[in-house]
Amino acid sequence: MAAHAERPDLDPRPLHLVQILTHVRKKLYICSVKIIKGIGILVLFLAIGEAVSYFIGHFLPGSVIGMLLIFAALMMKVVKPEDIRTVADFLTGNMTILFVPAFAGIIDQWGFIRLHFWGWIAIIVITTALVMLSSGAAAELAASIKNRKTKE
Amino acid sequence: MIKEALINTPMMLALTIGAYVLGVFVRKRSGLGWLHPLLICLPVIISTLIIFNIPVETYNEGNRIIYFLLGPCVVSLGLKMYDSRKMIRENLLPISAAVVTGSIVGVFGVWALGRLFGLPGDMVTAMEPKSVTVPIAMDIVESLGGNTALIATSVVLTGFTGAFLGPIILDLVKIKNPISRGVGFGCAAHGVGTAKALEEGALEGAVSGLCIALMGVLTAVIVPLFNL
Repeated sequence: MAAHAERPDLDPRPLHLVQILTHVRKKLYICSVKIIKGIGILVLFLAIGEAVSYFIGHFLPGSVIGMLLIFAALMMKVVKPEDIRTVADFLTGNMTILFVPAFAGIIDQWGFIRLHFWGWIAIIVITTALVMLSSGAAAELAASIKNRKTKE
Repeated sequence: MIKEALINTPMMLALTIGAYVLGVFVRKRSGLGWLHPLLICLPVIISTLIIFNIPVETYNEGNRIIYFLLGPCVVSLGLKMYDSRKMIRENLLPISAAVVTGSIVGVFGVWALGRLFGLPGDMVTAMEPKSVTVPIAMDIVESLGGNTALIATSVVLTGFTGAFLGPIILDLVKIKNPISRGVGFGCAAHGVGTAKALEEGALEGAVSGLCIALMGVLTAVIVPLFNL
């Protein structure tokens, strides 16, 4: 019977409705605090990133600086990964919808793009193939150099 | 009367989310893996705006919250980098060699081909960070004062091209090592490529996802240097 007192889900006795509601509310509260905390941390690092970006004359975007800073903070254990994981996974998992609105601007730009349409398409296709070839080959080459060194 | 009442800013946000959910739903129901949600979502939004003659400013006004989330989304990639720290340590040399090569080839390739095809300078500048994930690419172009709509479209087209051509190119040059394949997808085709890399294997997908963040950082450094 003692085990059942610690694990209410194993208790065969019917739960009182009030008990269930308190349990659910507690769970929801923990969850919502986690979300607010995660948003707070991410926005704080974005804000610091923007401030640093201002001082270096916007050489790097604030968001990229914020990303590097939060990576450093995670490595130095200043920020706990569990604190931001819920929000961070939500944002990176739904990234596609975040850039949908940017496309609407294409309506205003279409006249301009149409003039150079085929050049635009050709650049995209050719450079994508080049980047894939060169980065894949570079990784392959570096890996083979590393393997040769470890064998010797 | 009805039209004026319906064109309000929350409705524009609802249009974005509705069109996206429709895209996800159609892909799930049709079972066609190549049918990316964007391929349905974008035509729906653009044709709605044109048919009802809604100004793009009104649409942007309603979607300001989504624009704002791009910043925290880039910061979130820091957690992805942290999660793959073990892989970075084990494969430091191949990954860094690939990211350095990929970002330089990407930026320089766009510039050189743009010159060759006689494209206007501001259009070329707005295409330079096109191998990088959309939120970072948009931030890079924005800080240069370029055209964000053009870069967003270029980046997504790059993603589709890379995901489509990637397996063919990598097989052609006989790159078989999962790390090199993952690196190729991540450096050339960001998120869309990573989805394709995940189909090949978990290791390919993880390496590819890591390269998204690293390419973003390096390209963000190279593009302003290149435009000095």
